[in-house]
Order: sequence, then structure tokens, then C-alpha cells
Amino acid sequence: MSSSAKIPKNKVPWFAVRQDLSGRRQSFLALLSFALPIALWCVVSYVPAIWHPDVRLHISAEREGSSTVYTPGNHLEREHFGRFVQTIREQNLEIQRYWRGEEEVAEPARMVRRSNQRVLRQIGHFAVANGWLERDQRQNDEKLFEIWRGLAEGDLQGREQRLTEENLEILRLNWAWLEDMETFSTGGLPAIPLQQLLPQGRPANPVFLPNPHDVVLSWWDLFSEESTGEGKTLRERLGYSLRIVFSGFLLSCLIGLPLGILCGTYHLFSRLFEPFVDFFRYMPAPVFSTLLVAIFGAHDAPKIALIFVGTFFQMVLVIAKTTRLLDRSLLEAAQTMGAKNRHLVLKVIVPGVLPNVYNDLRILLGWAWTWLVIAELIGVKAGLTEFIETQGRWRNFDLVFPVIITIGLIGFATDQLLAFLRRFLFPWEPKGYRLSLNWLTEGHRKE
Amino acid sequence: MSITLPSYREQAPEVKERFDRLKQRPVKMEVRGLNKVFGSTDGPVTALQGINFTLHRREFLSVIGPSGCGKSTLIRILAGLEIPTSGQVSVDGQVVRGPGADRGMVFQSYTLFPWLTVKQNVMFGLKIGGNSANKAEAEAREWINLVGLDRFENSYPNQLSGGMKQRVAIARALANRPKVLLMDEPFGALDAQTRATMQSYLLEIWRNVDVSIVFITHDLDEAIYLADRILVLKANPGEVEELIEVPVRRPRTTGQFLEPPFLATRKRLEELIHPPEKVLKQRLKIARMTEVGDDVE
Ligand SMILES: Nc1ncnc2c1ncn2[C@@H]1O[C@H](COP(=O)(O)OP(=O)(O)OP(=O)(O)O)[C@@H](O)[C@H]1O
Ligand SMILES: [Mg+2]
Repeated sequence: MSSSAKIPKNKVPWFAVRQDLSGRRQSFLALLSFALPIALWCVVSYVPAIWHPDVRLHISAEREGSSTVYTPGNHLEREHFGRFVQTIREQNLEIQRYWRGEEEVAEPARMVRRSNQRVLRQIGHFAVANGWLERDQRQNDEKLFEIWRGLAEGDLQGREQRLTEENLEILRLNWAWLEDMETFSTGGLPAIPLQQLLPQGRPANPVFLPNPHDVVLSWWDLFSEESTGEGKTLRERLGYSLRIVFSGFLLSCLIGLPLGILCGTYHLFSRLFEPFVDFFRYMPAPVFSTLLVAIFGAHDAPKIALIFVGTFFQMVLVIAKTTRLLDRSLLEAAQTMGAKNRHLVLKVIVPGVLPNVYNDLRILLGWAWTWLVIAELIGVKAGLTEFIETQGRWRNFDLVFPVIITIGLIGFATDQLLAFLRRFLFPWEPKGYRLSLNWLTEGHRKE
Repeated sequence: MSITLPSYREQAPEVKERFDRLKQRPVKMEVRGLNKVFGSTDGPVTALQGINFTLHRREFLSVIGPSGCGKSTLIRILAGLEIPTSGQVSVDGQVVRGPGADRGMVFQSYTLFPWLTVKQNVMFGLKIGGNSANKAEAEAREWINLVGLDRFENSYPNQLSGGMKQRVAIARALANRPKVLLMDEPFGALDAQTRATMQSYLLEIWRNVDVSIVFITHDLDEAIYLADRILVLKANPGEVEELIEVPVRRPRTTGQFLEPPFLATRKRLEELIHPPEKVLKQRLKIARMTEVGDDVE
């Protein structure tokens, strides 16, 4: 092949109107089309200077007279956070008046001790983040007390999260009231209010845009979860959703394909069915949801039925149209070889339209996934959508994202697989002729 | 200088004898009083009017005529793909009522089934006709052999050149052993050289097969080179203008293109298809769109 190396390569420029780029460039661009959004997501998530309109709390505090309680992990708008900190500062000034004896403590000692206990627990989340406490020990006052001691005496310093100078100062001042206790006891807490630590947090994006690594981690957690018998694991939910989509879609194909081909073949069937089907498809599938539940019960059947309704009518029309596009002269040629109706349908029309029907089905399968989201919410909620709905309501978007992305990946992978198989199923289809693209393997094909 | 040509009606003794023999042969296809009127938005269009002719066994008939005179309509009626408004076509005395395997057809557009290989394409009619797969395959092989495409029997049509596709189409049509082979400008889409080769191929194939051929073309040389008789149609309405007996002897060679009988026929066809008064009428009016300089003739 040394001679071919001498032939100067005629490279297509990057910007060439309606010309295909080389295989390697196509693959590179296909990769880039994924890499770019991911990179954008990373930049927005990890470069603090960009966006980050919120503060994610790791130390919260209590505001007097306010009914809204923030807990660590909550997101606050930055401006709001500033006011929050200021409020607590002012509350602390009040407390200093007690300390200086300018005012008497009006509340009973029991109440004061209880709120002091809450001050002690302010660092619970913070301690967990630094690995000093187990997750379930956030209310373990003995351990928290030792951590206060460590922080006040400078033995402990945060690795993951650190206290601000201001908070360290408050902590030390509080410690002066606490250090008399050898070990923690509720009764040993001072009967004078302690200053609250100021709220602390780090810049964060709104909850609806979790960080990539959080999404990846929770994706891993969710899908490696083993079945415990109570509640469904995500893998089980995925299996369920797949079953619903494919059951509904196969049912559609079973009736829709033959009917579509009949309509495309015989004017009789076309006129008999298509007008009504055409009318019916304008009624969006979800409007039938309550009806379907009434007919089929609340479990799987109405869900499958909804996907059926959503895809069947489109399928009949699309397949009929595709069938009609078959070159009529092929039928005439077959007739001059003695083909009768039966042969025309089975030996010319069916094999002739199959490659295009295959492509139509790929597009319709995408629709089936769309209807799944509604199907799973009718009757008894189930499957992936139920999970998304519940977690979304709790604003656990770092759990929602992995599921959404998984659905996308499955749809995309199925489609790519089908596109790839097309080459082997229909070897006669010319290589240059493609109705829709096979992104992942396309690039290598030409070379 | 002008050459004096013999009359195109003048036949050498052996040619005359051949035509006598030809007319003795049984009639394969008979066309009687054929009319075809299409309804269109601007009223009925008479595509064909009063067409009569007979086609004898192993006769090669060319049909020629100006564009739109109804050649395709005629051959589609012969094939049974179109129903005549009146008149009838019969094959071996049987009136044609629809398409059938006794009349094979080769279309101008490529109509090979793209999902079948060359061999499977040729087997199509054989299998429909009830032959066993083995027999169909064996016969298909022979036909593919005859058109010289054995190397490509497992290729798909889209891997073949235009000329090769039409050879497969001919093999496919002949494999059903039709009584009449109908060809509607089968080489019309090919370049001049391929077309010449295909014409010789067709004559060679035809020598090995007992079939009568109706061959539509608009190429005068092609019509003369291939045909025993030429049916000349005229347009609006499509009527038979003349039925010419080609005075060129067989076997045909390309060398005959310059022989007087060939040229005489050619001259006659020119007169019929492009009559001088019509050519004059069809001249475009002169409208100078650009500077043409002073060398205009
Ligand atoms: N289906 C149809 N409906 C209406 N008019 C038609 C139809 N088919 C053909 N015609 C008309 O009949 C006439 C003959 O058409 P036809 O295709 O047979 O001509 P042709 O001789 O084959 O022309 P060409 O040399 O261009 O192929 C034309 O005037 C055409 O407009
Ligand atoms: Mg025509």
C-alpha cells in the first residue's frame, strides 16, 4: 500500500457546504458534542467565580421569631445568606448584654440550657463533614462536647471545612462558659445563653444543578443498591420501566405494522381506516389516562395501554406513508413476471419497505419513551418516573439527575444499536443513503 | 455532392425472402383497433388512436416516434399494465386482460429489486411460477451466464453499473420464458458507448432465445440496427404513420451503418420524424441575449 501513501490527500476543509468530513473528524466531533456540554457543566459547577448564586449551609443557626428553619445542606441565595448572618450577629450582641450583666435572663434555666444544647449541636454536620463523627452521631452531645474542646484548644482543625475566624472567636468565648464541665451533662450547661455560631457555607449553584461528581456518585450508589425487600431498588425500577415501554411498543407494532402496510398497499384499507386514525391521533394520549385506568385497573395494563395509544395511531399513518413511497415500477416489474396480489405484498412491498419501516420504528420508539413518563404516573405510580417525582419533590436533584441521564442513555444506546444493526439487516442499502445518522460508528465506516 | 440512395422499400433478394418467411411464421401478438384516451384537467387527451399491427414469432419490432406520441402508453397496454379505452391485444389468440408472465418487460428506469442479489432477482419469476428453489437457481445461473454476469451473481443491484443492471433486467425477464419481450427505451439512460455494446449484446442474446421483441426507442440508428420492422408513430393523436420493413440483412454488424440500405432507411425515418416543414416551424425566434460578435452564421 506504499503507492497509496504518495497520493496527496484531498482533505475536505472544516467549513465545506454540504460535504462530508473525513471519518476521523466525524468521530472527533461526535465525541466533542458530548464533551462540550459536560465541560460546561463542570466549569459552572467547579469554578466558584462563575455563577454560584447560592450558599450551601454547613453550619446553620436559629433566628428568633422566624418560622423558617434552615438546616445544613440547605441552599440560600447569597444576599439572603448575608442577612441571615447579620441577624445572628445582632442576636449575639443581645446575648453579650446578658454576659456583661446589663440584663437579667428572663427565661427559665431549663429553656436556656436546652437552647445552649442546640448551640453545641450546631457543629454536628460540620463535624461529620470533617470525619470526626459518624453520620448518626450528630446528636451525640458527649462527643460534640469533646469536639468543642478540641476546636477551642486548637487541637482540631477542619480539613474539609474550617471555621471562620469570627466563629472560632465565638466558639472560644462560649468555651469559657463550658470548660468547667469535665464531661458533658445537660445539667452542667450554663444557665446563661451562649452565642450562636454564625451561619457558614460555601458558594453553590441552585439545588437544581447538582455538581457532576455528586451526580456520578449518587448514580453509582443508586444502581449498585442491592434489593432489601422493602421498597424497590433503582435497577428493579429500570427493569419495570423497560418492560412497560417495550410491551406497549411491541403491542403497537403487532397491530400497527400490518395495518399500516395494508393501508399503504390497498386504497380500500387506506380510505377505510386512515381518516379515523388521523382524527384520533390529534387527541393526545394522556387525555385517555383516567379512562384507561377505569378500563384496565391501576397497575401495569393502563400504562401499557397508554403507550399503545400514544404510538399506534402515529405508526399506522407513518408506515402507510412509507409503504406508499415504494417505487410503483417495482410492482409493475413484478407483475410482468407473473406476480399476483399475494406475491406483490409479501415479496415486493414488505421487503421493499422494510429498511424505511425500520427507521420509522426507531423514531416511534423514542415516542414510546416520552409517553412512558406519563404512563408511569397514572393509576398506581411506578417505575423510574415515580422515583423522579418523589425525589424531585424533596428537591434531591442529585438523585433525579442520574435517573434522567440513565433514561437518555438507554434510549440513545438502543437507537445506536438499531442503527448499527441496520447495516447487517439490510446489506443492500447503499452506504451513502441514510435516513438518520448512526453517530457512534458512522465515523469509522467510511475509512 | 450528394449520394443517390436506393429506395428504402427496395429489398435485396435474401432480405425479401427473409420477410416472406417471417410473415409465414405464426402470429404471436396481435393488436387491433387500439385507442387510449386519458382524462386530464384540460379535457381528454387522445394518446393512441387506431393502432393495428401483428408481431410474428421471433420478430423484432421497433417502435419509434416523437416524444409524447404514446410509445410508453402503447407498450404498457401491451404489457397489460394499462387498460385500453377500446380495441384489444391478444397473445397467441388469447385476449390480454392484465399483466402476465407471457409478456416480460424491461423498463427504462432500473427496476431490479434492490433487496435481492442478481441471482435472486433472476429467480424471482421462476419461483413465483412454481419452480423448486434448486431448479430456479440452476436456471437463473444459466441466464446470468448468458448475459455474461456470472461474476456478479451475488452482488446487489446498487453495486452494478447501469448497463449491467439492464443486462440483469433482460435476464430476469427472459428467465420466465415470455412469448413477447417488451422493452421501453431500455438503453435510454446509458452513455453512447455502453448503449452500442448493449445493442450488440441484445442481438446476440436474442439469437439464442425464442422470443419476439417490441423495442421502443427514439434513437433512429438503434431502431434500424436492431429491428426487422419499425413502427413509426406520429403525435397528437398517436397514430401509426408507417410500418417500415428494414432492408438491412442479418446478421447485423456495426459496419452496416454506412451501407446504402441502412442509410436509405435512416433518411426515410428522418423524413417521418423530423419533416422539414416541422423543423422550420419549430425554429426558435432569434433573440440576441448577449453581444455575439461579428462571426455569427
Ligand atoms: N397517466 C396519464 N394521465 C394522463 N395523461 C397521460 C398519462 N400517461 C400519459 N399521458 C399522456 O399521453 C401522451 C403519451 O405519453 P407517453 O408517455 O406514452 O409518451 P411517450 O411516447 O412514451 O413519450 P417519451 O418519448 O417522452 O417517453 C402524453 O401526451 C402524456 O401527457
Ligand atoms: Mg416513454
